[in-house]
Amino acid sequence: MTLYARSRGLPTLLITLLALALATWWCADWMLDSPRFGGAVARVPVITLSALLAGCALAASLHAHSAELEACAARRMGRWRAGHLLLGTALFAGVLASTVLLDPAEFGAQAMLRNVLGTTGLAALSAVVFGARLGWLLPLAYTGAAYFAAPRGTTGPPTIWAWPVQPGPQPAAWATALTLFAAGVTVCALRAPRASRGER
Amino acid sequence: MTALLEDPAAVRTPRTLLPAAYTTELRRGIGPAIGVLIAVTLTFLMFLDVSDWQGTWIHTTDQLRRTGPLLCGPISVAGGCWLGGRERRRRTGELRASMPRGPLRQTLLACAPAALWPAAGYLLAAAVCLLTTLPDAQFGHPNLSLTAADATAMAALGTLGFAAGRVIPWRLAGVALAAVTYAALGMTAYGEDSPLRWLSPANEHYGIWDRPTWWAGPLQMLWTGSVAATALLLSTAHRRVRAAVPLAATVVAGTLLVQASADVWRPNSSIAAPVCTGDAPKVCVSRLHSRLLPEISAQVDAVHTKLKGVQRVPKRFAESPLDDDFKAPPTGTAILPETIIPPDRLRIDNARTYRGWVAHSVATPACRESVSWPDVSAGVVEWLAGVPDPTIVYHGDRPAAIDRTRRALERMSAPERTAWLTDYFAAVADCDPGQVRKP
Repeated sequence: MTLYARSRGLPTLLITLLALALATWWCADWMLDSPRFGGAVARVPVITLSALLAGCALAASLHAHSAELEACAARRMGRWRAGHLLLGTALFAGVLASTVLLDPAEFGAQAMLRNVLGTTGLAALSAVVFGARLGWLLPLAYTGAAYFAAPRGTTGPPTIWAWPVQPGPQPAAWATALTLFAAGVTVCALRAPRASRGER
Repeated sequence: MTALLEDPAAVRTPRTLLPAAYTTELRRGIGPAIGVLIAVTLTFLMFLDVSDWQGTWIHTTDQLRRTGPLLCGPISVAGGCWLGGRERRRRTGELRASMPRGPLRQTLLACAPAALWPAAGYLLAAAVCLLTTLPDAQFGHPNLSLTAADATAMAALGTLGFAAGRVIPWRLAGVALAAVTYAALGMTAYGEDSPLRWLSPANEHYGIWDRPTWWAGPLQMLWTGSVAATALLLSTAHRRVRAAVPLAATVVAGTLLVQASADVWRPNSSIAAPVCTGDAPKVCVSRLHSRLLPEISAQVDAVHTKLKGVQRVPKRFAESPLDDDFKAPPTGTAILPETIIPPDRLRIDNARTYRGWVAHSVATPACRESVSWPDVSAGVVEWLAGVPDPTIVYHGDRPAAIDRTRRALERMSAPERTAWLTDYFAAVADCDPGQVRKP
């Protein structure tokens, strides 16, 4: 367990979580109070960018320095990876959601929880395709596109595809995020993140 | 063996556009993936709603500028950052230092995918968008210098990411820098009216009657290119004094851009030139909307016919794109709405709404001094157009005077109505709402 934690750089991941939580709390607080932004809607950039960084950090922590050795290990590493993702996501989602508790239903804790789940799932899928340290590729492009292209309003198809910028209690947005998370964890458990020369 | 027997003079290296080392470097790593990702993301975002841009060159160029650097710039930065950290990840720094090529040439070679692939991805998406605009764009030509400036900005962002990746040994540096780039570009795109926003490649522009000056694109290219060159030369850690030249160019280009500010745009008199009908009333539209002249004339006639016999009504209806919207029109002229015509394929989406705007410009025009027209005027607009005044948004109940006026105008005999409307349009011509009396 200790060896696994050290090989995946989990201490660094915890430091990243701490720094991210502090930055999220400060930014959310500043944007709520700023007369230039104002209101809970001002937190949309915070809940999207913070969840993006969380998902990418979790995907990057899946990187194995000796993937070939692990591939021929007696233990099934898929379970370790799945456990790693589940526990890591629970920790990140819990801590980051606690930084936006004020008015939780309106781009607050609920939306943060959902976005961390969805972005982590997307980053895990990206890690399997491109490599763990390139796990940011798909979530970065998708979050940016959803943020800037999503039409105003909380009805219709945008609640499905623009899930990162929906208010907290949107069922369709939650369904997409949970599906992505389940797909990411499952695919990551079945298949190790790609470790190729391109990724290095 | 066969090769040994061949005449060495006959064996030639195939010629390529770039030196072989560049070709190899560009093919490998994540450079192509970054280029494809940018091309796909930008194309998807542009085609998500073509009604915002497809139809005129200036709309397409503006939309590409609003979307490209803002959305794909962070991807470019993150990709460049990853590519910049390659030597450190592979621990090949010492091996590279032993190579005969100098550090600057090696850096340029390693940086090529970070700069060229984002620019290529952007140009590919821009080419697709401009080609789909071609069938509908009637006048002018695409502002290719601005598209080239955007491509340069994408390359510069990739290079800045590359320079950062060389010095920041953190696995999340790329995505963190991308988040910072989103915030910085977003704030300059939508932010307050700071003079520094003219330095941002994501600075928004809205104005279909504008054209860029000939020096706008080259100056923006010089600005973004020199910023990137300065960062790259400083990060090579060898003869940093060389960075003084691009640094000087950065200062000059930046100063010129801030000083020029909105002057990089000039009125485009070629597409704003009037095209008129000869009949009474005379209807003039800009060349851009000339294809819509019969349709616009029909709506104007529908309003003008109801004013037959009324004195002092406008005899000329014209678009006035290069004038201030709030300026009083010349005597006898009503200003036609031009901003409600959507840019895609230049059509009038809702003829009744357009007619409402025409009636509004006839019955409640702008004056030299700010005036507030009474609710009776909204009733006149509604009677003229057959639809409520589209410019009015009610907070609360709709004033009863509107329906009263409309019903009264419908009930009046033709001579009575002409007399009342003559009085009303005398008040309009004098810009005196106090003269307006209830019907």
